[in-house]
Amino acid sequence: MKIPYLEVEKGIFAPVVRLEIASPTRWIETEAYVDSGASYSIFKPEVADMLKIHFIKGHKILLTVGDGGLIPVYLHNLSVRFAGHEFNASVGFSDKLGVDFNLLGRASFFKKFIICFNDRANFLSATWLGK
Amino acid sequence: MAKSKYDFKFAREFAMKYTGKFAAVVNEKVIATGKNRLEVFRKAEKIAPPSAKIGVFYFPTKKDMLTAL
Repeated sequence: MKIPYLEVEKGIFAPVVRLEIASPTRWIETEAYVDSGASYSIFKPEVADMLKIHFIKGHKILLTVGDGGLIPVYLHNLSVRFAGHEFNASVGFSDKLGVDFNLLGRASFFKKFIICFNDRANFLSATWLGK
Repeated sequence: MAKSKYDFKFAREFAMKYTGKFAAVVNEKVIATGKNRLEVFRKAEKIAPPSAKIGVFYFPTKKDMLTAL
């Protein structure tokens, strides 16, 4: 599946995709910057609120960020839909994520899809490998 | 709207129109915008049908995207 990059400014593109996560009452969709250098997906705590999840009840891990510091991330196993497929994924939440957008990292996603970045044509391709 | 057509509309039209803001989308239409993700979601919850999918997206700026994560 080809997913066009987001055009953040005229002629400037970024691999930001849409992802759905199941809440008890409905599917919630949000954005995520595809970060092949991130071990885990990390979502903003507001997304946990939208999903009616008390995020600090998840499995706590510490992840190293760009400045060498450690941030706490709380992992939850959630039903997600991405690139036309539904599966369970390990999704982290952190109130120490220093950006306004969510990150889609390797855990759960890069074993289920071949993810290719095409920065010349400004699209990402996600090829399903199966559960 | 065909999915691929909507994907393109989202990635181009919405991204350029709502740069630096949060937007709630239901049935491929923007129904609320603002500067706070949760506030935008709460607005959308009041408008959207009970079990409808709600999308709440942050549309990053060029500055946001200059990252070394």
